[in-house]
Amino acid sequence: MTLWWIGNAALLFAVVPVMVLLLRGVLTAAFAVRRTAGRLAVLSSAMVTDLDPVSELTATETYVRETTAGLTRYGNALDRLL
Amino acid sequence: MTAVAVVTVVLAVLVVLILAIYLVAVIRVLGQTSARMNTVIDSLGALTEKTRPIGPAVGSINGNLSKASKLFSGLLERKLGPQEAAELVSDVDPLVAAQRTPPELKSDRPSPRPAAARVTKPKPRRPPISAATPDWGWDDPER
Repeated sequence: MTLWWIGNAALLFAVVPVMVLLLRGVLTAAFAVRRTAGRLAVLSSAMVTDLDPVSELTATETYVRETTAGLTRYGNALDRLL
Repeated sequence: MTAVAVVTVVLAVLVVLILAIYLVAVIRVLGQTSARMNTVIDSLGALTEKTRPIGPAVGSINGNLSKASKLFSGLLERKLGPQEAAELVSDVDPLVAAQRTPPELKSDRPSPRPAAARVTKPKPRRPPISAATPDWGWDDPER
């Protein structure tokens, strides 16, 4: 009977605190991961917004092609004139 | 049932309760983390889609600009000769001038002639463009 009481006391004063400590560590780590994931989500959304003007590159490409064609004509004309 | 058995049962229930509370909290936090990571993955997918045209577009732009640059460099070299064309390019482009200057000549001393003066220096040996241009009559108001 005495040993049983000692076992109960060990459960209450050793096992339960250690268990609480470990579980609290796991929960803290999970909260940290959630916070980091939240920051990542905000950052990646902002990055997607920042990249919106990239679609304008196709227009830039077209303009450069047209300008190059015009410059080529201009250069050829200049070549003949000079 | 003896008192010690009751205390044991109560302690066991306490342990199970603590475990359940913490594990449920961890499950909830991990579920929220998973949702946020899904947002990140969606954003990365959009990012990949949006950056896809950059490579071909920049390649095409560079190709076109290089073509135009080669055309005008060739034209300059043919009309002025390689030496004078290089001097003209270095006069108007400080980067090219810095590359052409040998390291031992680079110093803090000011240039004896400012670049702008060299650019605006007339080149009398070539006739003006208007001399070679035929008269199309565009300036004649009667036509």
